[in-house]
Amino acid sequence: MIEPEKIEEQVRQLSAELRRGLIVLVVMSQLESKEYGYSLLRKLEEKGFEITQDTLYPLLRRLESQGYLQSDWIIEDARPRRYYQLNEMGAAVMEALRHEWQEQLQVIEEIIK
Amino acid sequence: MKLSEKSQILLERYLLGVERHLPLQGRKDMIAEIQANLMDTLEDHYGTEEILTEDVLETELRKMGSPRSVATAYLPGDNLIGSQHNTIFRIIVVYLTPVVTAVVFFAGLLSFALSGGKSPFWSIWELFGQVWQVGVGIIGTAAIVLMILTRFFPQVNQGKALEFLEEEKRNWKTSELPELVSERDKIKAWEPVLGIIFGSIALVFWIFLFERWAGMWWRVDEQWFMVPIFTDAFKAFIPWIAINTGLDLLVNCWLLYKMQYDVIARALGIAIKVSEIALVSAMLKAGKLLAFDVNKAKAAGFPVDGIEGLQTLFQFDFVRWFLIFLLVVMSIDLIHSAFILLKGIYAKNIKP
Repeated sequence: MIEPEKIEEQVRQLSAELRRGLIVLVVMSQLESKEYGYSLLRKLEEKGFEITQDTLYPLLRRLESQGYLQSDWIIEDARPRRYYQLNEMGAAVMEALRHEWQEQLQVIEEIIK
Repeated sequence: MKLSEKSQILLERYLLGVERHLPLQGRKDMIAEIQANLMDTLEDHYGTEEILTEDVLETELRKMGSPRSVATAYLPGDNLIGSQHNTIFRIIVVYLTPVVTAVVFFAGLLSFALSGGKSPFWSIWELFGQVWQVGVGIIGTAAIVLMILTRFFPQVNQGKALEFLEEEKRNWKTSELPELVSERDKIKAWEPVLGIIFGSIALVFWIFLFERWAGMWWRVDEQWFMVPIFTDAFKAFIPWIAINTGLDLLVNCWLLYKMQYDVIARALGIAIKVSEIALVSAMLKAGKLLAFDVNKAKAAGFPVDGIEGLQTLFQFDFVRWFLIFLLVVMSIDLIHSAFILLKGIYAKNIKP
């Protein structure tokens, strides 16, 4: 008999792995309008997608260096914040990814039902 | 959310700790972003009016993790050497390599001094070459072995990567965060390194090579000749000079370890300066420090014009005037150093 705690732990690990694969898609989908790091973190949290600061913030920089995002420092309430947004390339890639995701979702649903 | 004075200092020290582990390229931008994100988090948790104490800030910083773990997230992935080997590689680079290269350097310096060094410049360069070879050899070999393990035996040390990151994230103390360094106390790593290299060479010179090398050199028919010019009165000061050089070497080692001027470095520096002023004063009273033996020079074929010129120079007693000049400069430097030390102590301990 497998202990329920062990199953729970395995599920936790595997679902974290599953989420990790979707992070780029989820983050890019929220950057059609300008967002700064913490606002994006809260937005995702409110929508039920958990992501840690040390994953999100470096990811934003990575996506920018890969040419999908543009960023600007904007001073608000006497504090500088870095805002990120999809650029033309990022928007095109996001659109393609969205299609890909919907197709894959149908396929996967068909497979695992 | 506002920060109390102490929590502001803690925050700056934490960010400085993170900054030191970030890649050099884009470091300022990354640290500005990390700070902006942290301030957003704090403001969201504590509102705009609350004054954040040091303890509360420490709790929040602990949630973020150690400075190194925060910085690690910003390092590029897909490494040739897997993060499961980080601990061992860090020990090799940070501890083993400096110790072994230092041993090779000092052993080389000692053997070079004891053998008299027939062609000194080549020997010195060979020594640096060997030290470089040893350092690169150790790091390179370790890197190759760990790259092979990462590529072909990924199971080795598996689990250590996460363990390592978790350990990094949890186990850190605020007392280990770097102190905020004022512009005046900042040093560049190459400064003490150069000090150590030249200090070591100077020490070897004073202790082992002075008798053989110090004097007036000239070249006749592709052969080098030397006439000693330092008197016994000067030679009596050599142990004192060597002690000062050794103390200076010690200060540079301390600076390299601390990577900034602190009270100990400044106090030791002042002690050395006092000792040097006393040394120069004693030299002023010691009588003739230099003497040119004309007969020896003539016998060895020293050009006659040169002998006359040197005799005039020695009669002028330039050593005395040089020592007086040195004494004035060193005294001003001593007063300046004492002022900086007292100002630093005042700023740290007395200023409210």
